[in-house]
Amino acid sequence: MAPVSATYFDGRAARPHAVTLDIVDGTASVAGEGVDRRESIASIEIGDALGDAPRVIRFQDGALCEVRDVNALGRLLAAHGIAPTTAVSQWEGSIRWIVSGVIAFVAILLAAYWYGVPIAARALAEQIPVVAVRRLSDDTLSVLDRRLLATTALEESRRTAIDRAFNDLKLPAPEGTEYSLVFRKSDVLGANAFALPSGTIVMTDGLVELARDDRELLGVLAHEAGHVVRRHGLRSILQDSIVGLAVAWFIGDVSALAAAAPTALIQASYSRDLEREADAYAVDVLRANGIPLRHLAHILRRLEEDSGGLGTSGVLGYLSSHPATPERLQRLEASSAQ
Amino acid sequence: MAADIMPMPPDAPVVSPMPSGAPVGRVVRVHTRKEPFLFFGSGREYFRIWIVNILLTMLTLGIYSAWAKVRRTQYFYRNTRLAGASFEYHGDPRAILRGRMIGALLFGAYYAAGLVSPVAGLIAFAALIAVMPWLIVRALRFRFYNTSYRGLRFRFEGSTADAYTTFLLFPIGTVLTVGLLGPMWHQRLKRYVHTNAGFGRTTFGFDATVRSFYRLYLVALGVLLLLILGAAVVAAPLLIAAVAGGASSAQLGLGIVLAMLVMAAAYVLTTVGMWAFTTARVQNLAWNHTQLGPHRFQSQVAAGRLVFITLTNMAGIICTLGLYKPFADIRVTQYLLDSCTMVVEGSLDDFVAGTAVAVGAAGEEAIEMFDIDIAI
Repeated sequence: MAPVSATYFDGRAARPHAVTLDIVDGTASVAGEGVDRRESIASIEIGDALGDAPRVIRFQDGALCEVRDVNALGRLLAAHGIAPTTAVSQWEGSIRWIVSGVIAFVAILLAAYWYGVPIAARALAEQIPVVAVRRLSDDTLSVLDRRLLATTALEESRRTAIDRAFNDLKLPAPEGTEYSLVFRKSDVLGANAFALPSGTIVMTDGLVELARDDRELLGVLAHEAGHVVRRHGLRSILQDSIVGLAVAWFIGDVSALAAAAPTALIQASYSRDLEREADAYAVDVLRANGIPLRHLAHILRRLEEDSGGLGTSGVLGYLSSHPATPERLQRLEASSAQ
Repeated sequence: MAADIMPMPPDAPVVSPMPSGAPVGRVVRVHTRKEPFLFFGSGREYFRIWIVNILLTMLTLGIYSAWAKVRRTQYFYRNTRLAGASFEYHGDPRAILRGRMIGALLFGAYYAAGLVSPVAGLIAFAALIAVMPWLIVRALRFRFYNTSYRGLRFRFEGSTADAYTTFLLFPIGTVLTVGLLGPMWHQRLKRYVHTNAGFGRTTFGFDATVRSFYRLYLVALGVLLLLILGAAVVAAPLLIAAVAGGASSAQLGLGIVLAMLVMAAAYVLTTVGMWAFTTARVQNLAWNHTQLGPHRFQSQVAAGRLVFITLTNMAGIICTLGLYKPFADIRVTQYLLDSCTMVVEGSLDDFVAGTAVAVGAAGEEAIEMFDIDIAI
């Protein structure tokens, strides 16, 4: 077996020595420019192969040999009964391992996307104390009040009527869930309603005016109550954080900001899932209360028309984060037909 | 992450006249020559290492990640060659695993405190901020000590007191001055790392001025304004056309969607552009003012090229569900190293070893856990 050429450094000075490396009777010998040393194989550390990168053989006193011809070194080692590489290094060279790796990677990624993240977010959402939820919701509402919302212009009798009907609505919910309905006027949001994690539901004057029957409003409120019961507010914050962290870690290096674009796409799809869940809850509630589902369908259709397909800015955001209205209507109608 | 894949150089330190070690009593004719940093890593090769790392990390529920990190770092270091010799990484996976556990513990404690009450969370946050500089010093020591070239180790000897100034006082000052102190902080950061590091017995030196950092950030600000202006010029006509033409609401909607798409693209371009611009300029500024004994460095990263590489890498990663990541890492490293040269005065053979002390990995891993880039 031919000796292997290498560069030797003594560990004390940076000067390179061109040498040849050989193995004779369990002893590694290094010979060349001003170097002639022999060490037992057991006392040296042979760095593992990493692709075609140079390999390093280290001596106990800090000296080392850098070998660029890794194939020759592999042959030399093999010829003397020394494993030329570790198992990991062999796996890296094995097509079977690479293919399994790719399949496992993609499978785990999709599983995390479909199940992992939503399940983790649901579990975490349960852990967040009520005080924190209350606080978060109150802060959110006060920010919205300053920026987007104004005092309602609805008559008090109208508000009381809706409030009373909502209170009479039987909503299956875990112990301790408290709802409070508030009315606000907003030109930006138009006809809209949304729920805060604490159970506060905000309904805009625009929505009340759009409704032709109070049972339509109850449909919307049931949908919003679904968001509260299923802790959608917290879950979506948590899901978005998890996805944001994962994408930022992966796209890495750049800025977390630039990673926001792909993150937003994934978030929109999670958001649509939550909307479907809230719709399903609303269907259950309306049935239990003997309210025909067509009322919810009517107001959804009117919301769609009101926005002109793709209309005002508020609705554009609503549309991308909600499933397409025709799809929701279809589901509702399918439920009604049963 | 950047620091992770960067064989020692870009974030390394530098200067001061060569102390001992230079041969005495013999006339040395010094001649200057340039030695490029060469990188031999290949995407195809690294992909195999990367995917096996991921597979084993998943099979061992994360424990293997410490070994994975060593393999990954070794691959990049060993494939970086300067003047005929490669860099080597010596990190001990067991030390890294311990560090990761400490990091997880710290993070868990912080998270748990937040659950107990907002006040407890705040206290935990403050405590974390207070230990951060201490951790950063340890991280830098670990990283430098475990990097070697030609059989000699690098080292880091920055003091903990200076770390508190650099990583606690300056950030606070930067926040209080609404960022006005930012460029000075960045200079201090670079200075702290680049003057306290050494190779063997030789120390690094750094002489980029505070003024030059302010100039850099001023130019960056100008570029940012131009980009925003450019985006507005493109998006505005679309919006106006949509609103003015606004015959049907469907047309109006289409116009708004188009305008929003343009805005989203402009947003990505702007953030990537600004990131690449400052990264390129800061790397150039720092390395062009860094010395190692009598030797100097030259860095000529072009921001435009870096933007192109970054955008195409992002597109690649997204389109392949992440599988392009190893290729992307190789490309960036390749370009950054290609842009770097060492200006050698005399010979690189004269460095001698200093006294080295082994250091634990706790700092480095804890820092990664909290996502603080000490690449700086």
